Amino acid sequence: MIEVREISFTAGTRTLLNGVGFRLEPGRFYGLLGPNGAGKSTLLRLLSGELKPSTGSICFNDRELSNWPLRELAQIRGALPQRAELSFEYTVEEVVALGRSPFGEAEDESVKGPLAIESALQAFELESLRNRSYLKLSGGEQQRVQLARVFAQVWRAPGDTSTRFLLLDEPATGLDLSHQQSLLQLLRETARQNTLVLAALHDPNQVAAHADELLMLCGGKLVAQGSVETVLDAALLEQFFCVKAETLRDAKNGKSFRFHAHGDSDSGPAKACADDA
Amino acid sequence: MIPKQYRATLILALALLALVSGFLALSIGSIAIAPSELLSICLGPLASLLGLAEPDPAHSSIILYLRLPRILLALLAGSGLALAGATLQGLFRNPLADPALIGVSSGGAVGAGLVLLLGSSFSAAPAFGSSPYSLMLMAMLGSIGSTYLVYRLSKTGGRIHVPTMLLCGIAVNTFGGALVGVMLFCADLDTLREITFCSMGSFSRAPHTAVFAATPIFLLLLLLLLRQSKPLNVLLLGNAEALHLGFDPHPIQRHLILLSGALVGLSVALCGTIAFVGLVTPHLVRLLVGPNHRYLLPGSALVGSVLMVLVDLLAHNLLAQANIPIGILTAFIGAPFFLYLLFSARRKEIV
Repeated sequence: MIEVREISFTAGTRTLLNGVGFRLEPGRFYGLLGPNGAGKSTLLRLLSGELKPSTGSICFNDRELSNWPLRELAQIRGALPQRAELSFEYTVEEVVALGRSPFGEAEDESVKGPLAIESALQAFELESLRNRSYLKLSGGEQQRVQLARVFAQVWRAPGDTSTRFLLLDEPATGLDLSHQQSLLQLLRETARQNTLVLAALHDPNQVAAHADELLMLCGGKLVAQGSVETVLDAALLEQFFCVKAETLRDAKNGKSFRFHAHGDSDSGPAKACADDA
Repeated sequence: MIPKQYRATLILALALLALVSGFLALSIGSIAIAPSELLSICLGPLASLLGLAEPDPAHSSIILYLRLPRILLALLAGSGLALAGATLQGLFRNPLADPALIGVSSGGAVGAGLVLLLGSSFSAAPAFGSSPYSLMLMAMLGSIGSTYLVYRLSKTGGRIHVPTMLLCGIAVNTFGGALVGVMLFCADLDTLREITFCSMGSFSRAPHTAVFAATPIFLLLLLLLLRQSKPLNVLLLGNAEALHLGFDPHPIQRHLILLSGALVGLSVALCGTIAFVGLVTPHLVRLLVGPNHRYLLPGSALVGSVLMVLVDLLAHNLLAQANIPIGILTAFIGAPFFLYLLFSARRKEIV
């Protein structure tokens, strides 16, 4: 599990995260929501060790993040940052294979590595693109390749039930509708196999339909946390997203929301967060 | 690009090619020496045991003191420069990085020039003869320093800004050139010639003792750098991604700067500035085996050494009775080739 105690992060004079604390359990899919600039990416970068918190502490499996040997952590925790900057002509398969780099040379010869790469390529429907150059793919296809790389990293041999962590920053960016749906289903299924999935998402309906739990950030603070069923509602979205929201219920699919542009310009997200402070 | 399963075979074939071209180059020159006699010279006392004819002692010394150091240096410097080029291109995540273009070589030239200048003013003996190690050490430090400088200056917020890198390279090159100019101004006639040679490149100026002394250092640096293929592959994804995969980017980058700077400095100390090998070779090898450093690094080192031996043969045999400086030849061949690469890459992107 991940335990975050009162972390803050300050860049220069700006406080990007302020006193955020929570505890996340494996086996669940956490959706991270919040308006632009709320601190979602900062939180994910702190959790992945890319940034160090100014105050507070982060523990993975009861062990302080800074005490984890990098390589050991990389074998159980995959992370997908927002931007990729690859500028050399790797093939799709080679990029996905890089996901197995934490496992050392010995694995190259065993069946595990190729199996992990194969199943990741399959999961994101990349088999037919495997020998194509990464640079010649569309943005959405590149995103699928990066996702497959992260999934190859946290892949488990059949029968292995040890815990895995997945930290994903806007994984659905650039994906078409059908790939977004299969990604969210995959995240849900992966979470069921003793994996802790934390993904920043933009669409509250995707969180409502697929995630187990909601974390909502606004202005660098955690403003809502709990099971999607109880915490995520139209009032919460209206308060923090500056939209008019309406809850639609449907017996089969559960909760979803319909949004209308908000006429009242006084209650923007900034104001909502300021009120909260 | 050749299929994945043949890449390892290609590397082996290249290694064989490097050996064969080095051996053949030993037999070519103003005095032709037959391969069988060459073999018995190379085998030394073992040759008589195998029943080979006793070599001519004059031929023996031509090979051992003139051609062998020259060819050995061509092989080592060629592989060092090409390997450093491939590494720098990975480090800067940018295929335009070249040791000579981004100021790494001129840092080495400043270090070497300093030793030559001080050596000539403080002692009667030329610096090269008295202490090859101080020259090598200073050139290595100069190259490492300038690599670090360009790397730090062109990195903003964890990312390499490519135009800044090229402009910093120009600035470091210009500044290094000015420092060398000051040294030329202060130098006496002998030192003047030494420093001038340093800027043009040659495999035959370094005494054989210096080449033999540098060989183990070259080999050690080459081996250490060849082992960095996995970290380099992961680094291409980006610093954050490398960290997520368990590779801490900063110590790796420092390590790469140290090793590639040392290799370039060492070759500058022994054979002067040779441009474009570090740029063109990795490009050629990437066309053959793709960007995976596991094949790119050894491939670049081998192709670089073969190229340098060929260029050295041209330099020695193109004009009768005159040696063309290597740096001039590589620039003549390399610059148009670079433009060709640049434009073919641009065409590909448009299609």
